[in-house]
Order: sequence, then structure tokens, then C-alpha cells
Amino acid sequence: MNALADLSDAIEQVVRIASPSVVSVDHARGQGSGLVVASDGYVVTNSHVVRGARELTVGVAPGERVSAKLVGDDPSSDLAVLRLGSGSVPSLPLLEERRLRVGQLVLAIGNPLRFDHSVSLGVVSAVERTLPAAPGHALEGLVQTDAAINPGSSGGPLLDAHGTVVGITTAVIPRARGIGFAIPSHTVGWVVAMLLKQGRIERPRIGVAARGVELTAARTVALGQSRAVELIEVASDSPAARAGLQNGDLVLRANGKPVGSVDELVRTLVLTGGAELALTLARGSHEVELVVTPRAEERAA
Amino acid sequence: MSKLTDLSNALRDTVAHAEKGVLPIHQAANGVTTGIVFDEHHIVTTARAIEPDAPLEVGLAKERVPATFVGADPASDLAVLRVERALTPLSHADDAELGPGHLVVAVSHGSRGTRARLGIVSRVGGSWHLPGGLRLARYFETDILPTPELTGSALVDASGALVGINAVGPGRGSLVTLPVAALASVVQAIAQHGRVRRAKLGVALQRVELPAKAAARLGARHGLIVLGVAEGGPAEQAGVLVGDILLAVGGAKVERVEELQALLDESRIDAETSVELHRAGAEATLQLRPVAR
Repeated sequence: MNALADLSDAIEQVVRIASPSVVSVDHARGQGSGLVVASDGYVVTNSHVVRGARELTVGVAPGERVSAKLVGDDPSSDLAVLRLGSGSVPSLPLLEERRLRVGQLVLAIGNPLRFDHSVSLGVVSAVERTLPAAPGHALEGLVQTDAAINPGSSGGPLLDAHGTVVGITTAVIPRARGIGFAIPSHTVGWVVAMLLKQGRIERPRIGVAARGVELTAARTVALGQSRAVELIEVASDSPAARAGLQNGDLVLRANGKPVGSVDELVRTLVLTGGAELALTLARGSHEVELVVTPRAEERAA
Repeated sequence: MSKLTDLSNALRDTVAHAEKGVLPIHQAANGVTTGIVFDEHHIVTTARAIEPDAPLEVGLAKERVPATFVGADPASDLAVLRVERALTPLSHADDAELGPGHLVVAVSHGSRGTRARLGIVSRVGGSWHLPGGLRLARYFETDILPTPELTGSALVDASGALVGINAVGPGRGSLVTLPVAALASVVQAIAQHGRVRRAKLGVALQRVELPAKAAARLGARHGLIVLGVAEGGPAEQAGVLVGDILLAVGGAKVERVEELQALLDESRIDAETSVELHRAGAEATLQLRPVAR
């Protein structure tokens, strides 16, 4: 056997193991793919796939369709969770730690254009990408890949060479070829957990515009971490301004845990449920400790 | 050497092996297109890419040799060329073994040289009737970007064995591969007769739903209603009338026009064939002999 034949068989085996957990999600106004994340019938898909749906049908195997109900929806992360009405479908594990690297081989499985399972191969082109999404939202910390993601295959899994789910595919840029995006599994994990618990996600606000940044080599050594969240703008009279945060501050830790992306900061805010948040900042050459009291998310009327 | 270098070299070896059975076809007016060696003297290519009356040449390792146009089948868009030089066809991949995730390479020839593209099998399609009646038991879709110059190119597996001929799938956004073994009957017919001979009944048909009672009795939901009968054709001679609904031909149910076309292959020409039909609420059976199309 040559190296190419070995690789070919290895990929085929990953597809064979993973495929039964990939389902199609259908309703009167749209269609997409989904992934079974718990074998008692919980399916994660894209929020945009189930938007406007009244009755959902999930295709779990060729010719086998079951009804499903929406358990939770989070348009900010473009994720939603469904529960199957019946049947048992195998689930796939989500990658927990952040170990996805640019250049790794990945596979996308989905149901493009209502065809049954279709798989495509690619590499991780970039990580920590940000895309504008629904008005007022941005999709944060995305995985970019050149594996073909077509309309209808979004909501399906992006898998690594071990068959572990590294993301849920979400979007393609119209007319661009070879540029697809997936929501990384570490985001999917906490969003799904919160949606199962309370059906939606409230994001307490501290009143900053921020972005995840890569630190220079010298700062990485000095600060002991390679990424941080840079505050681009602190809104006046916001919880952040009252706590003393300033434009240009680098958030290093939230409640003692290192943060390297806006998603991680938001996750900490959501999980603390709006209670006081202790932030460690790098400001110039100093480290500063502050406590912010967030306010509840303002909901559009 | 790293594993990546091993992989890269294996990929290059696969393409180099495939190039022995995938040859450039040169034609002054049309430039260069891809030809796939079918047997010792025959090459299969895309009918649309070839001008039958203009001189043809096939590029071998070090030289170009003249080729003659044997024939074409517009229905499957295949053409066959003959070369008076011993060629070596690629071995055929076991397409029952090939599944989603297997690595494949598309190899094509164009005016700017040989082109290779790596991808995986995305999906294995089931039974498909090509226009013209050829029935494929399965076909493949890959994640290779379907660009026009890939029409007629060869798809090989990781060992360099031939999977089939690529067609850019209409509206599917993916490259569709027709298994080469399934096309053998077409290629052999062109090689022998210069074309694919098929039989006809001499009727124009349209698929219709059967009346509920008849459907329940026959175990079929659809039949083919006769919209027209060709003057002097086998159907007219046997007494087929406009408005009859064809249910079965030669003992096989016909619920789609493509199914009937697939039945009417060369072996039916001038062979006694039974036609079951639904007429005025009752079933009738007629005998006729299809003629060559």
C-alpha cells in the first residue's frame, strides 16, 4: 500500500463512522444539516437553518424521517438545538480543547441542496476569523476552511482526521470559492449547554467594542499568554467606563481564566450570569485588576 | 523523508501512472482534449469535443500518432477513436469498494498541458438513466471543483486505477463520474458498428398516473400514455392506439420513459416483444417487433 492509498482508506473510515450522526433538517421555508450531539436525540444545527420554521422534520437515515422540536436558539452564534421526537441516533464528540491548527486536514459532511450525505475534504485555512452576521451581531472566532461547504450543508460537522468534531459549518461568502466557515467546537459546546439549560442565551453587557488579538513574542513571554482581548472602544457611562476600563486596554484574564477571544470573554460573562466580573488588564507596562458589574442584555422592542 | 513528502510522491506516482492510460487528443480546430485508453487500439473521449471529419492525433510518451474517428453516441456524448499502435489501458477500480471519503484524482489534458486535481468521493449516487436510455447502477460525485475543461477527463483512485469518465453535472455544482465499466457496452457498440444501435416501437409517450383501481391491481403507480403513433411503425402495425397506456414491455414494468428506453437496446431489434397496455378500463396484451432507430 502506498501513502496515498493509506490516507484514502483512513479518510473513508472517518466518513463511515461519522456519517450516521449527520442528519438533514427540513421545514417549509428552509433546509440544512445538523449533528447529533447526544444520543438521546439532541441535534445541533444553525440558527439560520431553523429561522421561521413551524414544523421541523429531521432525516436521520435514508428514508427515515422524524419530527423534531426546537429546544433553543441563539442567533448571535448562529446555533440552535433540536430534540428528535423519537428514535436513537449515534452522536459524535465535540473537540473540547483549542488545538485546531492552520494546515490540519478537515472533512465537511452535510446534505447540500437536499441531496443525501455529501462529503468534502480540505485544510484549516485560518482560525479566529470574524464575519459580520445578522444586524448587530458578528460571528466570532470562526474556523476558515477550503473544504467545500454548499447551501444546505451548513449546520453539519467539520471533522478532524480523528473523526472528532472541530466545528459546525455555518456560512460561505457568495461567489468566493474555497472559503467556508465553521463555528469552533469550544463555542458550540458552551452554547449548546446553555441552550439545553434555558433555551436562549442572555449576554450581559459591559459596554465595550473589542477584538481578540495575537500578542507579540516579547509580550507573550512577559504576560505568559499568546492572545488577549483588546478594547477598541469603551462606551461612556457604561459598566466598563464606571469600572475604569480604557480604550486600548488588553484584557488578559476574566475571573482568573485567560481570555484570547471575544467569544471567551462573552462565555465568561454568560456563565457568571451577570454577577461581578474580575478582569486582569495589561495597560502599558502595568497589570491592572478591576471589577465590572455588567448590565442585563437590552432586548429590542 | 516526512510523511507529507511520502504522500506527495505517492500522489505524483499515481498521476504518472494514470498518464499512461489518459492521453491528449490533438485537433487543429479544437485544440487538445482528454482521451481515455479503452482497449489495445481504442480511445474514448467526449463526442462534443471532437470534430469527426478533421485530422486527429493522439500524443504518446514521445510522439504523436494519427487516430481515426470510429463513431459517436450523441445520447451518452461518447466518441471512440482508433489508433494503429498497441496501447495499454489502465486497470479498472473496483467501484463497489469505492465510497464517500476515498481519495481520487481527476486527470485531464488541455492546450496548456496535463492537469491533475485531488479530491474525495463526496457521494455515491444510485440508479441513473442517462438521456438516450443507458442505465447506470451507480455513479460518483466528488468535491473537485467542476470546471468545463474537466468534461471527459479521467477519474483515478489512490492506486491509479481508472474509476470513470467525468462529466460536469448540470446544476449540481459537483463533478459527476460515470463508471467506465458501465459504459463498456456503449464503447463496444461504437467500436463495432460506428454507433449505438437501439430499438424503437414507433410511439410518442408521456408519463401519467394510473387510475387508482388499475394502480392497485398492477402494483404500479405510473404508466406511459401514447400521444402519437408513427405511420407504418411496429406499434401501428400491432394496433396500438393514441390514448392507450403502456404498462409493461417484454414483461418488465415501464413507469418512466427512461425505463422503456433502457429496455429497448440492440437485442430488441426485430425480436418478438409483448406490450401490455391499459385501454378503456381493461388490460390488453399485444405482440410486436421493434425496429432499429
